[in-house]
Amino acid sequence: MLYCSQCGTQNREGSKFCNNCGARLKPASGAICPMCGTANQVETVFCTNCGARLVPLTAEPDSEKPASAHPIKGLSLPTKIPPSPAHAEQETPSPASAVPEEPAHDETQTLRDAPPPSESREESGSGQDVTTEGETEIPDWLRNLRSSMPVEETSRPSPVSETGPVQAGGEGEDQVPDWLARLRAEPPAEEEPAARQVSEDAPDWIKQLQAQEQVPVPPRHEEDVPDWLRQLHAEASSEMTLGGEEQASGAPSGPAAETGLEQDTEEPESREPFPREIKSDAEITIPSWIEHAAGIDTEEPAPAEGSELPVWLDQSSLESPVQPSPVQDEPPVPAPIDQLGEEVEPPKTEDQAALPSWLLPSTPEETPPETPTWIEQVPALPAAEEPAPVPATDGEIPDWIKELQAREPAEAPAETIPEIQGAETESLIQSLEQDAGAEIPLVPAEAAGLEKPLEEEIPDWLRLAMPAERAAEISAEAEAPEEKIEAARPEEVPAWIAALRPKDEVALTPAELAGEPSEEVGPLAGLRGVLPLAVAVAEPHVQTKAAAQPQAPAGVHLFDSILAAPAGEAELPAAKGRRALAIRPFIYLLLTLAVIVPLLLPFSLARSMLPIRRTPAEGFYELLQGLPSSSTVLVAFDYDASMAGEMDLQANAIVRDLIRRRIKIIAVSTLELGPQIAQRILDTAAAGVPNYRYGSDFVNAGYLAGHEAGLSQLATSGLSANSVDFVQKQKLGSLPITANIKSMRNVALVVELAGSEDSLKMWMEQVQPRGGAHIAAGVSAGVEPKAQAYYDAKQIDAVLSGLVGAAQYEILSNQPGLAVTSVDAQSAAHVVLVLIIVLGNIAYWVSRARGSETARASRGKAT
Amino acid sequence: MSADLIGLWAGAVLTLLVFSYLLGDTPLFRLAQAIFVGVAGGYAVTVAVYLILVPRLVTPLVSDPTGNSLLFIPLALGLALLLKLRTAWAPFGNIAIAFLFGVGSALAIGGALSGALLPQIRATILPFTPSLGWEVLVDNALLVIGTIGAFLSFRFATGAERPTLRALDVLGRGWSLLGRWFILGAFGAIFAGTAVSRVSILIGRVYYLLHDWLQVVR
Repeated sequence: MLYCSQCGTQNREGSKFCNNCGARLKPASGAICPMCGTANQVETVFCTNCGARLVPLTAEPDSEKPASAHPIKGLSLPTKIPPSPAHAEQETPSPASAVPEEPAHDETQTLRDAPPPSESREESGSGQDVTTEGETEIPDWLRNLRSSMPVEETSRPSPVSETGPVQAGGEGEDQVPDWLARLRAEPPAEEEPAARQVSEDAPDWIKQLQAQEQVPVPPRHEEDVPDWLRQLHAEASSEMTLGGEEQASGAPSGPAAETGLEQDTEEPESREPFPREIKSDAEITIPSWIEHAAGIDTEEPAPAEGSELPVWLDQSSLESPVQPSPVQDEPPVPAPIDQLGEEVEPPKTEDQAALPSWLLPSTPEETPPETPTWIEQVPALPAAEEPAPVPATDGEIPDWIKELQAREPAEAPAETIPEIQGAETESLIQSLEQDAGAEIPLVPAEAAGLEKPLEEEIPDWLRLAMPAERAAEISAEAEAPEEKIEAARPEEVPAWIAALRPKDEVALTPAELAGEPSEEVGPLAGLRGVLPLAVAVAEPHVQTKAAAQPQAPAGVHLFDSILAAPAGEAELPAAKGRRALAIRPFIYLLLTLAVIVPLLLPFSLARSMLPIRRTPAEGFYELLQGLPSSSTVLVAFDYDASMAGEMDLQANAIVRDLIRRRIKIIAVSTLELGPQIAQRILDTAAAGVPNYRYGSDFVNAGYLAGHEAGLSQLATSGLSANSVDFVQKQKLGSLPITANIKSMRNVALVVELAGSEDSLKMWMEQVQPRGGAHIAAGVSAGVEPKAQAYYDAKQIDAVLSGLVGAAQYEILSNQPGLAVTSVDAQSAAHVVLVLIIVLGNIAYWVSRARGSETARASRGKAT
Repeated sequence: MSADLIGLWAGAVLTLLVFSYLLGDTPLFRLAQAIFVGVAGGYAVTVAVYLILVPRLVTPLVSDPTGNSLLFIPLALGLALLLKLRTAWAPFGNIAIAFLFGVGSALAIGGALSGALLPQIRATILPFTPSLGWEVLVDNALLVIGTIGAFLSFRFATGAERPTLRALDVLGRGWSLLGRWFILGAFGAIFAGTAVSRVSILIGRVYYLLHDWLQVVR
């Protein structure tokens, strides 16, 4: 794949212009054909477009080795430096002695006349200069051909009677490839019907042109001349005739008029009518373009018509001054012979070069792609060198000649028009016009229905030789290749793709087609609406905005009215928020009054109404009352300062009762802040109890680290001996109260004061299952549901819940304190909360009923 | 001015700052919040150092390293945790983290099975003998029905196609609906207990202000 250097678009292999931006694509590496400018792959020997040799042949340094032993690898153009005009005039023979006297001179004759490199120098006499100069310019392969040609000429006087020049060539027989020998050895009878068939298949316009020939061809020559040569000859003359009609009418047209070509007045002999030349057998075998080329060699450069001359002819016109005359002993091979293969190679248009071979339109005129260009070149030599083996040549025409014959009418004019320039070319064309026997105007390729030559492929050296106006025109066309591509691609769509066109496409109006996007790249380029995706994406004819329907439901109008309403009406949420803000302080005030008033004015109503008997608090109290004196109770203060307002009441009630009964207390905590709270409770409770000392009767074991691990260790191993108490920082193992605590079995009861569910859960999961410990849980009111589940499962022995439980315990223990004082405030707050909940629910149901009525009313209005 | 008086005033002022949240998220509330967090954190570190690290790790290793050589393992693990502060050294701290999480997860799972799941399941297997009295029977029946209904409320299977199973499916749907109400009752009880707990805390704070600080309440 090729990537555009301008936009980076990926293009197909062989593309010359970017499909996206139209920039000329340059391969990363490769060889540029010096003839057509086509970029070829690396290591390509021949140009893929015109067949020209890209790799120059190296000269054989070994002189002993026969020159003819070099294999023929193909025909390439010798890079010849145009000689000075003076030298050209000296060496160029007169047209009168060249064309009329030797009209049968063709490429093969030139090759035959060319002596071997060693012999030609000895035999040439006066022509030594020309030969010497020609020798320096002719490549080795051409010398090899020269060396073989005289042998053929002497050993095989008539090509019809001999099997072929190669077979009789003696030494040269080994030098000619086998395929060439086979071609020459083919029986002539096989070619005749094929040639006739091709002639019949010629396009109609060719037949018409043939019919317009004014000078009939003698029957004798008609039979002798192959049909394809006859057709080519007639075609060339007819084109000239058609052009001559236009020129005769005084309306200059075509490139000839543009370039100002004029008729040649210096060589009247060369203006003999073309049919007269056909009378000669040798002339019949020569196509018109070869005659033109021969005229270049023999004549003084004549004005040429651009529409009739291919590119190679233009070059040959430049080289013509140095070409020796065909009548000379050592004529160099004229340039047209070298470019024979190039001419038969059909020029590719831009799109043809860009498209793969399978997408190219197949026409019967095309050469099979498998045939290399050089094969087409070399076999053309024997066919053209046959002077006039009249009856036999028709039958000997091989297939490739038929193909060449069939392709010539369409291709020869395509390579002609605008490249011809200069005085030499003009004179050449003028001479050709005169040879045709009529005034030959130029016929543009477009007028003939032929493809326009690929001017973008003109090499730079040729473009430099053009007029400035023409070069600028070509450059302008090269800069805007997309238009050409767009115009040409639809014609190249294969039939199977064209069959995929949607059937309903014909029903689309031109306006709809204009709205449909067309494919820009690929083989579908130029088609509209072929792919469903393109239709689905584009759909310009479908209205995407729904129009308001008169029968739309009322909800649609309501929605439209809401959308159309100004934004200032959306104040309802803000009003609700303000109302909520107005209610919230009222609730705060009620709760504050419910708490403060009972504290300031204790009315003892709740105390008198507080249930004591058959409550969990009673069970808790009885459990602690069942503990023997001097027993040890482990009290876990698992709550922090945030829960101290509730849990301190329980802790005070429990600790005071235990101390009063002389029960030893070991305080621990699984929270970092717990030991401080425990110490404050213990100090307050033990302050009024005589002989109840720290370290012997109670101790603050401090923080129990490790959470589950610490509790698990406590359940199995008891308090760590290395741990220190919270107050004196003495090792627990050294304290009498804690020295003997090796497990929970050594304590009479574990009182878990849990301010959170997690603390109670850890005790239930890590300590209680390991057995031996009786656990009584004093929990916050929020943890009571969880503690009640453990109590129901008999995992804990008693539960004391919240402030109420503390008050009950104080009443049971006959030590009324802060808990009992706070019960009235708690009860008042509960009443306030209940009222708030009830009023709130009433307000909710009322607002809901109003909302439903409002919605119902709005629905009724809407309907 | 004694420390108790300073503490008393500090406590009162901070309490009022926290109550300022009733007026909104004021800077005073944020100040009190920051003070509580800072004091709690600092106090926790102090407690951990003086009650845990020093007496249970440093002192034994200093006094008798040979006899307490096993304490080097928790020391190494504890120091490895400090490596988490640097990203390049963090993988070394993962060992201590893995040890902590592994031990904690093992204890939690084992404790959940032995201390919560199995005892709670066993607690729902209740007798239905008439000798227990109708109150106990109703209580046990409600407990069983509520427990099973709570489990069925988390059943999200679709209806059965077979007629025999369709009746069970209808029964299961009804039972799950009843269990859902039991769950709602439990949530209501927890919410009510939490509300009562917070009212108690409010009472404690108000009592502190009225009794300890203002001394208007005896």
